[in-house]
Amino acid sequence: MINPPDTHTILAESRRVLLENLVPQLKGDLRYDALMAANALGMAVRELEQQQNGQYGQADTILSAFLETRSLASSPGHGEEDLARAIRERELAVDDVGLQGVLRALTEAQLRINNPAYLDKGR
Amino acid sequence: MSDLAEAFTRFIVQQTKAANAEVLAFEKLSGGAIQDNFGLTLELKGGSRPGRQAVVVRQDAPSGVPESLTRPEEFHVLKAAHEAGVTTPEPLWLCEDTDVSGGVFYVMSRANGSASPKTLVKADFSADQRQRIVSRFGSELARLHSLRPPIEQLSFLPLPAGGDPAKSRVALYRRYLAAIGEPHPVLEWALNWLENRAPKPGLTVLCHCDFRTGNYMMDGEALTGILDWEFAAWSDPCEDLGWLCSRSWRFGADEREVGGIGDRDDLLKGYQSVSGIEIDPAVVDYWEVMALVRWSMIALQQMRRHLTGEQQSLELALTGRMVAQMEFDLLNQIQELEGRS
Repeated sequence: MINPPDTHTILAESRRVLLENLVPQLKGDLRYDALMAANALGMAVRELEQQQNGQYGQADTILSAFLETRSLASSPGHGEEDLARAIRERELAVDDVGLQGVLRALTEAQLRINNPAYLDKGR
Repeated sequence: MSDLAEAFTRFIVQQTKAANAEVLAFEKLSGGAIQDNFGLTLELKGGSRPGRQAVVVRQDAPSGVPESLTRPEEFHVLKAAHEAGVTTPEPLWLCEDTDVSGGVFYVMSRANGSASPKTLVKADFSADQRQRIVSRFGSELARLHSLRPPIEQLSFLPLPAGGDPAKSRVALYRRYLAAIGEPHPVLEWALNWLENRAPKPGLTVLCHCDFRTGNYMMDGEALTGILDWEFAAWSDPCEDLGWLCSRSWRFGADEREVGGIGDRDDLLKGYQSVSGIEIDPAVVDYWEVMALVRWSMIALQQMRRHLTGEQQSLELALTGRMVAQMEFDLLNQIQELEGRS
Protein backbone atom coordinates (compact mmCIF):
# COMPACT_ATOMS: atom_id res chain seq x y z
CA MET A 1 0.00 0.00 0.00
CA ILE A 2 1.18 3.52 -0.83
CA ASN A 3 1.26 6.00 2.06
CA PRO A 4 -1.16 8.91 1.81
CA PRO A 5 -1.47 11.34 0.14
CA ASP A 6 -2.28 9.26 -2.92
CA THR A 7 -0.96 9.91 -6.43
CA HIS A 8 -4.05 11.85 -7.48
CA THR A 9 -3.70 14.24 -4.55
CA ILE A 10 0.03 14.76 -5.16
CA LEU A 11 -0.49 15.51 -8.85
CA ALA A 12 -3.48 17.78 -8.27
CA GLU A 13 -1.64 19.72 -5.56
CA SER A 14 1.48 20.06 -7.74
CA ARG A 15 -0.71 21.47 -10.49
CA ARG A 16 -2.31 23.95 -8.10
CA VAL A 17 1.11 25.18 -6.89
CA LEU A 18 2.27 25.61 -10.48
CA LEU A 19 -0.81 27.55 -11.56
CA GLU A 20 -1.43 29.63 -8.44
CA ASN A 21 2.08 30.29 -7.12
CA LEU A 22 4.54 29.96 -9.96
CA VAL A 23 2.80 30.91 -13.23
CA PRO A 24 1.85 34.45 -12.05
CA GLN A 25 5.54 35.11 -11.22
CA LEU A 26 6.87 33.91 -14.56
CA LYS A 27 7.16 35.50 -17.98
CA GLY A 28 7.93 34.46 -21.55
CA ASP A 29 9.33 30.98 -22.18
CA LEU A 30 9.38 30.05 -18.48
CA ARG A 31 5.68 30.90 -18.10
CA TYR A 32 4.93 28.89 -21.22
CA ASP A 33 6.88 25.90 -19.84
CA ALA A 34 5.07 26.10 -16.50
CA LEU A 35 1.66 26.25 -18.20
CA MET A 36 2.60 23.24 -20.33
CA ALA A 37 3.65 21.28 -17.25
CA ALA A 38 0.37 22.22 -15.52
CA ASN A 39 -1.53 21.07 -18.59
CA ALA A 40 0.31 17.72 -18.53
CA LEU A 41 -0.46 17.28 -14.83
CA GLY A 42 -4.12 18.04 -15.56
CA MET A 43 -4.19 15.17 -18.05
CA ALA A 44 -2.65 12.80 -15.52
CA VAL A 45 -5.18 13.89 -12.86
CA ARG A 46 -8.15 13.35 -15.19
CA GLU A 47 -6.84 9.96 -16.27
CA LEU A 48 -6.60 8.84 -12.64
CA GLU A 49 -10.08 10.21 -11.89
CA GLN A 50 -11.53 8.23 -14.75
CA GLN A 51 -9.82 5.08 -13.55
CA GLN A 52 -11.29 5.65 -10.09
CA ASN A 53 -14.85 6.40 -11.19
CA GLY A 54 -15.06 3.54 -13.67
CA GLN A 55 -15.35 5.77 -16.74
CA TYR A 56 -11.93 4.68 -17.98
CA GLY A 57 -12.29 1.79 -20.39
CA GLN A 58 -15.93 2.44 -21.31
CA ALA A 59 -14.98 3.24 -24.89
CA ASP A 60 -12.97 0.01 -25.04
CA THR A 61 -16.10 -1.89 -24.02
CA ILE A 62 -18.06 -0.23 -26.84
CA LEU A 63 -15.22 -1.07 -29.22
CA SER A 64 -15.07 -4.74 -28.15
CA ALA A 65 -18.82 -5.13 -28.60
CA PHE A 66 -18.63 -3.58 -32.07
CA LEU A 67 -15.74 -5.84 -33.12
CA GLU A 68 -17.64 -8.88 -31.83
CA THR A 69 -20.74 -8.03 -33.87
CA ARG A 70 -18.60 -7.66 -37.01
CA SER A 71 -16.52 -10.79 -36.23
CA LEU A 72 -13.37 -8.67 -36.27
CA ALA A 73 -11.99 -9.31 -32.78
CA SER A 74 -8.66 -11.12 -32.58
CA SER A 75 -6.91 -10.94 -29.22
CA PRO A 76 -7.97 -9.10 -26.05
CA GLY A 77 -6.36 -5.70 -25.55
CA HIS A 78 -5.76 -5.17 -29.26
CA GLY A 79 -9.14 -3.69 -30.14
CA GLU A 80 -7.86 -0.44 -31.63
CA GLU A 81 -5.28 -2.31 -33.71
CA ASP A 82 -7.99 -4.67 -34.98
CA LEU A 83 -10.25 -1.74 -35.82
CA ALA A 84 -7.48 0.22 -37.56
CA ARG A 85 -6.52 -2.83 -39.62
CA ALA A 86 -10.13 -3.55 -40.61
CA ILE A 87 -10.61 0.04 -41.77
CA ARG A 88 -7.29 0.07 -43.63
CA GLU A 89 -8.19 -3.17 -45.39
CA ARG A 90 -11.60 -1.77 -46.31
CA GLU A 91 -13.52 -4.37 -44.34
CA LEU A 92 -15.53 -1.46 -42.93
CA ALA A 93 -17.08 1.20 -45.16
CA VAL A 94 -16.52 4.91 -44.58
CA ASP A 95 -20.28 5.51 -44.29
CA ASP A 96 -20.82 2.67 -41.76
CA VAL A 97 -22.86 4.42 -39.05
CA GLY A 98 -21.90 1.86 -36.38
CA LEU A 99 -18.23 2.42 -37.17
CA GLN A 100 -18.64 6.19 -36.93
CA GLY A 101 -20.26 5.79 -33.50
CA VAL A 102 -17.32 3.72 -32.23
CA LEU A 103 -14.78 6.17 -33.64
CA ARG A 104 -16.59 9.02 -31.88
CA ALA A 105 -16.70 7.11 -28.58
CA LEU A 106 -12.95 6.41 -28.74
CA THR A 107 -12.11 10.00 -29.66
CA GLU A 108 -14.33 11.52 -26.99
CA ALA A 109 -12.77 9.24 -24.38
CA GLN A 110 -9.33 10.58 -25.34
CA LEU A 111 -10.55 14.18 -25.22
CA ARG A 112 -12.12 13.73 -21.78
CA ILE A 113 -8.56 13.20 -20.57
CA ASN A 114 -6.52 15.40 -22.92
CA ASN A 115 -8.77 18.42 -23.40
CA PRO A 116 -12.37 18.13 -22.13
CA ALA A 117 -13.19 21.72 -23.16
CA TYR A 118 -12.66 20.73 -26.78
CA LEU A 119 -15.68 18.42 -26.66
CA ASP A 120 -17.96 21.47 -26.54
CA LYS A 121 -16.76 22.53 -30.02
CA GLY A 122 -18.59 19.65 -31.62
CA ARG A 123 -21.88 20.24 -29.87
CA MET B 1 28.76 37.93 -27.45
CA SER B 2 28.07 34.24 -27.96
CA ASP B 3 30.23 32.03 -30.19
CA LEU B 4 27.26 31.64 -32.54
CA ALA B 5 26.74 35.39 -32.90
CA GLU B 6 30.46 35.77 -33.64
CA ALA B 7 30.35 32.98 -36.23
CA PHE B 8 27.30 34.42 -38.01
CA THR B 9 28.79 37.92 -37.95
CA ARG B 10 32.10 36.74 -39.42
CA PHE B 11 30.16 35.02 -42.20
CA ILE B 12 28.09 38.13 -42.98
CA VAL B 13 31.21 40.33 -43.00
CA GLN B 14 32.77 37.90 -45.47
CA GLN B 15 29.69 37.94 -47.72
CA THR B 16 29.28 41.72 -47.71
CA LYS B 17 33.01 42.51 -47.64
CA ALA B 18 32.26 44.97 -44.85
CA ALA B 19 35.27 46.65 -43.25
CA ASN B 20 33.83 46.26 -39.78
CA ALA B 21 30.72 44.95 -37.98
CA GLU B 22 29.28 45.81 -34.59
CA VAL B 23 26.71 43.43 -33.08
CA LEU B 24 23.82 45.47 -31.68
CA ALA B 25 21.56 42.57 -30.67
CA PHE B 26 21.51 38.78 -30.81
CA GLU B 27 18.72 36.52 -29.55
CA LYS B 28 17.24 33.09 -30.11
CA LEU B 29 13.75 33.59 -31.51
CA SER B 30 10.78 31.62 -30.28
CA GLY B 31 8.98 29.09 -32.46
CA GLY B 32 10.48 26.72 -34.98
CA ALA B 33 10.41 23.16 -33.62
CA ILE B 34 12.42 21.98 -36.62
CA GLN B 35 14.79 24.92 -36.98
CA ASP B 36 16.57 27.28 -34.66
CA ASN B 37 16.00 30.90 -35.59
CA PHE B 38 18.23 33.69 -34.37
CA GLY B 39 17.66 37.43 -34.60
CA LEU B 40 20.86 39.35 -35.30
CA THR B 41 21.17 43.12 -35.63
CA LEU B 42 24.45 44.47 -36.94
CA GLU B 43 25.94 47.82 -37.85
CA LEU B 44 28.07 47.21 -40.92
CA LYS B 45 30.73 49.67 -42.10
CA GLY B 46 31.49 49.61 -45.82
CA GLY B 47 30.90 46.65 -48.12
CA SER B 48 27.80 45.84 -50.15
CA ARG B 49 25.23 46.48 -47.38
CA PRO B 50 26.49 49.30 -45.18
CA GLY B 51 24.46 50.46 -42.19
CA ARG B 52 22.11 48.77 -39.78
CA GLN B 53 21.10 45.26 -40.79
CA ALA B 54 18.36 43.31 -38.99
CA VAL B 55 18.54 39.70 -40.13
CA VAL B 56 17.30 36.27 -39.12
CA VAL B 57 19.64 33.29 -39.23
CA ARG B 58 17.89 29.97 -39.69
CA GLN B 59 19.82 26.86 -38.75
CA ASP B 60 18.89 23.17 -38.45
CA ALA B 61 17.57 22.10 -35.04
CA PRO B 62 18.87 18.82 -33.55
CA SER B 63 16.20 16.81 -35.40
CA GLY B 64 13.47 17.24 -37.99
CA VAL B 65 10.41 15.54 -39.44
CA PRO B 66 10.61 13.51 -42.66
CA GLU B 67 8.59 15.94 -44.74
CA SER B 68 10.79 18.98 -44.15
CA LEU B 69 13.25 20.38 -46.68
CA THR B 70 16.93 20.85 -45.95
CA ARG B 71 18.11 24.40 -45.28
CA PRO B 72 19.67 24.77 -48.79
CA GLU B 73 16.45 23.51 -50.39
CA GLU B 74 14.37 25.85 -48.26
CA PHE B 75 16.66 28.74 -49.24
CA HIS B 76 16.12 28.02 -52.95
CA VAL B 77 12.33 27.83 -52.49
CA LEU B 78 12.37 31.11 -50.58
CA LYS B 79 14.40 32.72 -53.39
CA ALA B 80 11.98 31.47 -56.05
CA ALA B 81 8.96 32.74 -54.11
CA HIS B 82 10.62 36.10 -53.42
CA GLU B 83 11.47 36.51 -57.11
CA ALA B 84 7.85 35.67 -58.02
CA GLY B 85 6.73 38.67 -55.97
CA VAL B 86 5.52 36.84 -52.88
CA THR B 87 5.94 38.84 -49.67
CA THR B 88 8.74 36.97 -47.93
CA PRO B 89 11.84 37.96 -46.01
CA GLU B 90 14.62 38.67 -48.52
CA PRO B 91 16.84 35.58 -48.80
CA LEU B 92 20.43 36.82 -48.48
CA TRP B 93 23.12 34.15 -48.09
CA LEU B 94 23.32 30.40 -47.66
CA CYS B 95 26.16 28.76 -45.75
CA GLU B 96 26.64 25.03 -46.31
CA ASP B 97 30.06 24.91 -44.61
CA THR B 98 29.32 23.36 -41.21
CA ASP B 99 32.72 24.51 -39.91
CA VAL B 100 31.37 28.08 -39.72
CA SER B 101 28.78 27.58 -36.95
CA GLY B 102 28.36 23.83 -36.52
CA GLY B 103 25.39 23.54 -38.88
CA VAL B 104 24.03 24.55 -42.27
CA PHE B 105 22.24 27.90 -42.11
CA TYR B 106 20.99 30.78 -44.19
CA VAL B 107 20.49 34.47 -43.58
CA MET B 108 17.42 36.48 -44.55
CA SER B 109 16.09 39.96 -43.79
CA ARG B 110 13.96 40.30 -40.68
CA ALA B 111 10.28 41.10 -41.25
CA ASN B 112 8.65 43.65 -38.95
CA GLY B 113 5.64 42.99 -36.74
CA SER B 114 4.26 39.91 -35.06
CA ALA B 115 3.48 36.34 -36.06
CA SER B 116 1.81 35.51 -32.74
CA PRO B 117 -1.53 33.77 -33.42
CA LYS B 118 -2.84 35.02 -30.07
CA THR B 119 -2.10 38.65 -30.98
CA LEU B 120 -3.40 38.38 -34.55
CA VAL B 121 -6.59 36.47 -33.81
CA LYS B 122 -7.49 38.81 -30.93
CA ALA B 123 -6.58 41.98 -32.87
CA ASP B 124 -9.40 44.47 -33.17
CA PHE B 125 -9.57 44.56 -36.98
CA SER B 126 -12.63 46.11 -38.62
CA ALA B 127 -14.68 44.10 -41.12
CA ASP B 128 -13.04 46.02 -43.99
CA GLN B 129 -9.57 45.34 -42.64
CA ARG B 130 -10.35 41.63 -42.28
CA GLN B 131 -11.56 41.56 -45.86
CA ARG B 132 -8.39 43.29 -47.10
CA ILE B 133 -6.09 41.03 -45.07
CA VAL B 134 -7.53 37.70 -46.23
CA SER B 135 -7.90 38.98 -49.79
CA ARG B 136 -4.16 39.78 -49.63
CA PHE B 137 -3.50 36.22 -48.43
CA GLY B 138 -5.33 35.01 -51.53
CA SER B 139 -3.34 37.25 -53.87
CA GLU B 140 -0.05 36.17 -52.25
CA LEU B 141 -0.92 32.51 -52.76
CA ALA B 142 -1.90 33.23 -56.36
CA ARG B 143 1.53 34.77 -57.00
CA LEU B 144 3.23 31.76 -55.39
CA HIS B 145 1.09 29.38 -57.43
CA SER B 146 2.21 31.08 -60.64
CA LEU B 147 5.37 28.97 -60.17
CA ARG B 148 4.80 25.69 -62.01
CA PRO B 149 7.09 22.76 -62.74
CA PRO B 150 9.61 22.35 -64.20
CA ILE B 151 11.83 25.00 -62.55
CA GLU B 152 15.50 24.14 -62.66
CA GLN B 153 16.51 25.57 -59.26
CA LEU B 154 13.65 23.61 -57.65
CA SER B 155 14.44 20.29 -59.35
CA PHE B 156 14.92 18.66 -55.91
CA LEU B 157 11.14 18.88 -55.30
CA PRO B 158 9.47 15.64 -56.41
CA LEU B 159 6.36 15.79 -58.56
CA PRO B 160 3.23 14.20 -57.03
CA ALA B 161 3.13 10.47 -57.79
CA GLY B 162 0.94 9.70 -60.79
CA GLY B 163 0.38 13.42 -61.31
CA ASP B 164 -2.29 13.23 -58.59
CA PRO B 165 -1.48 15.43 -55.57
CA ALA B 166 -4.44 14.23 -53.48
CA LYS B 167 -3.91 10.50 -53.93
CA SER B 168 -0.18 10.94 -53.61
CA ARG B 169 -0.73 12.64 -50.21
CA VAL B 170 -3.07 9.84 -49.10
CA ALA B 171 -0.43 7.22 -49.98
CA LEU B 172 2.26 9.23 -48.18
CA TYR B 173 0.22 9.59 -45.00
CA ARG B 174 -0.60 5.87 -45.02
CA ARG B 175 3.14 5.22 -45.08
CA TYR B 176 3.69 7.69 -42.25
CA LEU B 177 0.96 6.10 -40.17
CA ALA B 178 2.43 2.63 -40.72
CA ALA B 179 5.86 3.92 -39.65
CA ILE B 180 4.46 5.55 -36.50
CA GLY B 181 3.31 2.10 -35.48
CA GLU B 182 0.38 2.92 -33.20
CA PRO B 183 -3.28 2.40 -34.12
CA HIS B 184 -5.28 5.47 -35.16
CA PRO B 185 -8.61 4.19 -36.50
CA VAL B 186 -9.99 7.71 -37.08
CA LEU B 187 -7.02 8.61 -39.26
CA GLU B 188 -7.36 5.34 -41.23
CA TRP B 189 -11.06 6.13 -41.71
CA ALA B 190 -10.33 9.71 -42.81
CA LEU B 191 -7.68 8.47 -45.28
CA ASN B 192 -10.26 6.14 -46.84
CA TRP B 193 -12.67 9.06 -47.15
CA LEU B 194 -9.94 11.18 -48.75
CA GLU B 195 -9.17 8.40 -51.21
CA ASN B 196 -12.84 7.94 -52.10
CA ARG B 197 -13.47 11.65 -52.52
CA ALA B 198 -10.20 12.71 -54.20
CA PRO B 199 -10.85 15.49 -56.73
CA LYS B 200 -9.69 15.08 -60.33
CA PRO B 201 -6.08 16.29 -60.61
CA GLY B 202 -5.90 19.84 -61.89
CA LEU B 203 -3.01 22.28 -61.86
CA THR B 204 0.24 21.39 -60.11
CA VAL B 205 1.88 24.46 -58.60
CA LEU B 206 4.46 25.44 -55.99
CA CYS B 207 2.68 25.30 -52.63
CA HIS B 208 3.99 26.66 -49.35
CA CYS B 209 2.21 23.84 -47.49
CA ASP B 210 2.41 25.58 -44.10
CA PHE B 211 0.89 29.00 -44.77
CA ARG B 212 -1.29 29.56 -41.72
CA THR B 213 -1.72 31.96 -38.83
CA GLY B 214 1.54 31.76 -36.89
CA ASN B 215 3.67 31.50 -40.02
CA TYR B 216 3.29 35.02 -41.39
CA MET B 217 4.26 38.38 -39.96
CA MET B 218 1.84 41.29 -39.73
CA ASP B 219 2.60 44.88 -38.87
CA GLY B 220 -0.83 46.33 -38.11
CA GLU B 221 -2.94 45.17 -41.04
CA ALA B 222 0.06 44.92 -43.37
CA LEU B 223 1.47 41.52 -44.24
CA THR B 224 5.26 41.87 -43.93
CA GLY B 225 6.49 38.36 -44.58
CA ILE B 226 5.42 34.77 -45.14
CA LEU B 227 7.72 32.53 -43.12
CA ASP B 228 8.66 28.86 -42.67
CA TRP B 229 9.04 27.40 -46.13
CA GLU B 230 10.41 24.01 -45.09
CA PHE B 231 7.34 22.04 -46.23
CA ALA B 232 7.07 23.57 -49.73
CA ALA B 233 6.06 21.09 -52.43
CA TRP B 234 4.51 20.76 -55.87
CA SER B 235 0.82 20.22 -55.21
CA ASP B 236 -2.76 21.23 -55.88
CA PRO B 237 -3.35 24.98 -55.28
CA CYS B 238 -6.19 24.05 -52.93
CA GLU B 239 -3.74 22.35 -50.57
CA ASP B 240 -2.51 25.82 -49.50
CA LEU B 241 -6.03 27.27 -49.43
CA GLY B 242 -7.38 24.34 -47.40
CA TRP B 243 -4.46 24.42 -44.97
CA LEU B 244 -4.95 28.14 -44.30
CA CYS B 245 -8.67 27.55 -43.65
CA SER B 246 -8.24 24.41 -41.53
CA ARG B 247 -9.97 24.39 -38.15
CA SER B 248 -6.59 23.74 -36.52
CA TRP B 249 -5.35 27.24 -37.35
CA ARG B 250 -8.29 29.39 -36.23
CA PHE B 251 -6.99 29.59 -32.66
CA GLY B 252 -10.41 29.72 -31.06
CA ALA B 253 -12.01 32.10 -33.61
CA ASP B 254 -13.81 29.25 -35.37
CA GLU B 255 -16.31 31.49 -37.14
CA ARG B 256 -13.48 33.16 -39.11
CA GLU B 257 -12.49 30.38 -41.46
CA VAL B 258 -9.27 31.90 -42.78
CA GLY B 259 -6.80 31.47 -39.94
CA GLY B 260 -9.17 33.01 -37.40
CA ILE B 261 -8.88 36.31 -39.31
CA GLY B 262 -11.54 36.50 -42.02
CA ASP B 263 -13.90 34.85 -44.48
CA ARG B 264 -13.08 32.22 -47.05
CA ASP B 265 -15.03 34.00 -49.81
CA ASP B 266 -12.70 36.99 -49.52
CA LEU B 267 -9.66 34.71 -49.66
CA LEU B 268 -10.91 33.09 -52.86
CA LYS B 269 -11.79 36.46 -54.40
CA GLY B 270 -8.28 37.72 -53.64
CA TYR B 271 -6.89 34.57 -55.21
CA GLN B 272 -8.97 35.01 -58.34
CA SER B 273 -8.07 38.70 -58.66
CA VAL B 274 -4.42 37.76 -59.32
CA SER B 275 -4.63 34.27 -60.82
CA GLY B 276 -7.85 34.60 -62.81
CA ILE B 277 -8.73 31.14 -61.46
CA GLU B 278 -12.13 30.54 -59.92
CA ILE B 279 -11.59 28.02 -57.13
CA ASP B 280 -14.27 25.42 -56.41
CA PRO B 281 -15.04 25.75 -52.66
CA ALA B 282 -15.82 22.02 -52.50
CA VAL B 283 -12.20 21.26 -53.41
CA VAL B 284 -11.04 23.57 -50.61
CA ASP B 285 -13.36 21.65 -48.25
CA TYR B 286 -11.64 18.45 -49.31
CA TRP B 287 -8.17 19.87 -48.66
CA GLU B 288 -9.31 21.16 -45.26
CA VAL B 289 -9.93 17.54 -44.32
CA MET B 290 -6.53 16.61 -45.76
CA ALA B 291 -5.03 19.39 -43.61
CA LEU B 292 -6.41 17.82 -40.44
CA VAL B 293 -4.91 14.45 -41.40
CA ARG B 294 -1.59 16.02 -42.27
CA TRP B 295 -1.34 18.01 -39.03
CA SER B 296 -2.15 14.78 -37.15
CA MET B 297 0.74 13.04 -38.92
CA ILE B 298 3.14 15.87 -38.13
CA ALA B 299 1.99 15.89 -34.49
CA LEU B 300 2.55 12.14 -34.18
CA GLN B 301 5.99 12.46 -35.77
CA GLN B 302 6.88 15.27 -33.38
CA MET B 303 5.77 13.16 -30.43
CA ARG B 304 7.99 10.31 -31.70
CA ARG B 305 10.99 12.64 -31.65
CA HIS B 306 10.54 12.88 -27.89
CA LEU B 307 9.64 9.23 -27.30
CA THR B 308 12.65 7.92 -29.23
CA GLY B 309 14.98 10.23 -27.31
CA GLU B 310 15.89 12.15 -30.47
CA GLN B 311 14.91 15.42 -28.80
CA GLN B 312 13.71 15.60 -25.20
CA SER B 313 10.82 18.07 -25.01
CA LEU B 314 7.57 18.22 -23.06
CA GLU B 315 6.11 20.31 -25.88
CA LEU B 316 6.84 17.62 -28.46
CA ALA B 317 5.49 14.91 -26.15
CA LEU B 318 2.23 16.80 -25.56
CA THR B 319 1.79 17.38 -29.30
CA GLY B 320 0.89 13.69 -29.47
CA ARG B 321 -1.98 14.31 -27.05
CA MET B 322 -3.37 16.97 -29.41
CA VAL B 323 -4.12 14.40 -32.10
CA ALA B 324 -7.46 13.55 -30.46
CA GLN B 325 -8.57 17.14 -31.22
CA MET B 326 -7.77 16.73 -34.90
CA GLU B 327 -9.53 13.36 -34.92
CA PHE B 328 -12.59 14.95 -33.32
CA ASP B 329 -12.55 17.71 -35.96
CA LEU B 330 -12.20 15.07 -38.69
CA LEU B 331 -15.26 13.20 -37.49
CA ASN B 332 -17.30 16.39 -37.33
CA GLN B 333 -16.08 17.85 -40.60
CA ILE B 334 -16.48 14.70 -42.71
CA GLN B 335 -19.94 14.05 -41.27
CA GLU B 336 -20.87 17.67 -41.99
CA LEU B 337 -19.61 17.45 -45.59
CA GLU B 338 -21.39 14.14 -46.15
CA GLY B 339 -24.58 15.69 -44.78
CA ARG B 340 -24.28 18.48 -47.33
CA SER B 341 -23.73 16.23 -50.36
